[in-house]
Amino acid sequence: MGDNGKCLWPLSPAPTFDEVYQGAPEQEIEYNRFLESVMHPRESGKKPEALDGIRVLDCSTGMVIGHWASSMLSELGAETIQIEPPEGDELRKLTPFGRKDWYFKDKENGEEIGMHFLHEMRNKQSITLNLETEKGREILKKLAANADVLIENAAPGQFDAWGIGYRQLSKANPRLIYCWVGQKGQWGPDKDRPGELEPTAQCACGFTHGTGFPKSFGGVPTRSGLWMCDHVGGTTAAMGIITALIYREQTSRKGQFIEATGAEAIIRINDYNWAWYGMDGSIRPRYGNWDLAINIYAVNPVVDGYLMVGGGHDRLWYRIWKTVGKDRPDIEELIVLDKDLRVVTNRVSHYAQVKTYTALCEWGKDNTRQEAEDKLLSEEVASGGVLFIDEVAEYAHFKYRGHVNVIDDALYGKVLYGTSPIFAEKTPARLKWIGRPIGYDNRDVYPRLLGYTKKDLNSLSKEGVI
Amino acid sequence: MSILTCEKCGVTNYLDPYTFWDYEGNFKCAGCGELYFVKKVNGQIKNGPTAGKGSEYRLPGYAEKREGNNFTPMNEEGNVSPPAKARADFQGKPIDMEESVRGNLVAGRPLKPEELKGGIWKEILE
Repeated sequence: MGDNGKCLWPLSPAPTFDEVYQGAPEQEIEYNRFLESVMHPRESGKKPEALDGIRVLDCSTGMVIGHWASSMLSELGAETIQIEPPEGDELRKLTPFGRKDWYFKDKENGEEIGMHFLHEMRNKQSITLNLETEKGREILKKLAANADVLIENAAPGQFDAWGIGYRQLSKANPRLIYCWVGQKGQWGPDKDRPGELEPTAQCACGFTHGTGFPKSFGGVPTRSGLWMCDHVGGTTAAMGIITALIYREQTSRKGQFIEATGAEAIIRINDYNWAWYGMDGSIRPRYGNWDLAINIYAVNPVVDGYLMVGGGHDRLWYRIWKTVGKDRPDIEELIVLDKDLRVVTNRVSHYAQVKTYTALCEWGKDNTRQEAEDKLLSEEVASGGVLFIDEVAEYAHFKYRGHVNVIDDALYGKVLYGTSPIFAEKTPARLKWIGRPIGYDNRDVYPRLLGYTKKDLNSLSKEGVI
Repeated sequence: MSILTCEKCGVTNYLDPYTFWDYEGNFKCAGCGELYFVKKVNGQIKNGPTAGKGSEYRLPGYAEKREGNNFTPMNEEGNVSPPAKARADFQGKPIDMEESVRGNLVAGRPLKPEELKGGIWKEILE
């Protein structure tokens, strides 16, 4: 990627239908032609949107969790309005290594925007509103009166104290679904603890302790490089909102109060950790790229990177070693002659895993990812290289499915992006635009929803309200 | 090589990829305590094994003594790097599961003599 309007992708074209299905049986070709006709995202723009008619006000700032939740909804067609303070969300300025050359700029004003925030402004309108002013809060009340969903992540109780919390807004609009998002929750002993941001949540939920190389191999607790608590917590928020919408439409005719948090979303994902600890006090140790319950099931170093190999049961286990044995019969022999490795459960003990992976890597050190993958796949063993982002972007499969794509945005030019994973026959998710500058839609939203004139907007702007 | 047999005691030391994929220094034989120097880059031995240099060392991840088709683990504490533990105080003997969800040992059964050719499963020789 470079300046706005330029995009290096794709370096090579995606394969054609005929190239992909060449030589396949006619029934398979016919079925895939059907699948692509109903699922491929190139058809999405022609179809209705599942959340068409649903209006979402995203008042969250400074955290991705709320933006991610509203992105899920905006991709599914909800009219989503991002409400920012007049100076804009602070996340707009985040950029890798603090480098401004990695900002995008809009074509109208040249306003800079960080890539992370840009991607989570997809399909949203941006308006500014200063909720720290009485007038700003009155305006929010009016907006909420005509909204279906409101998302906020203010300090617990802040909106309530301001008179714009669930208790007040739901009186004016009983159909409002009000969602508070955060990292640990808006009630309970830690509710007012400062600095409750995404990395704190990753550490507080057990995830970070359980991720990384084992302590005995010099490993340290490792947080996810992506803002996982925000993304998983935001997804649960979106699920909660959508189920509340269904309940409202089918049963209650009323909205409700929802809360979703990053730390607690991952606590749910830590599923068997709880049962194990509750049983006898065991704490799941970090095991790096290996797995506690399956051997082989790991990412292993090879000549040019890392390779995932999976095969815990006999069928795959012996195929893996048969593959290895074609190059290195001495290594195959070390494994298949060892009686202690013949029973699948014995293979999972720690030292069996060390022996296994040391032997596998002794073979891997002479193979590239592609060479090793080709050899293993020839024996139908699950395997795959650990791909770099450029390799994923150029990966024929994802390119063909339209999963990595480029949008030529009216404001930001060509931007490479990951497509929504929600493929659907009738109401797929889609990308309509990538983002908006601060307050870009004041001129549309306020007149349309509240009847404000240009003069009103100028006045509110001078007062610091918008 | 990541699998090195000690010339003195015949114990095979497994230099695990976590610790030794890129490594320059000594490892200590799990059998006799002899120090060997190795330099490994991206899994490849660039130098060694030669006589140890200095007194610093790392322990192999796993070690065993091989006699024909018999492999005897040499994993006493202090010989190899310690395992990851779910409980620091766990000293008991693990009780391994034996049955699959279908109630049989399809994936994990010990092979029967008639299924073997020598010590190797016939299926993988086919």
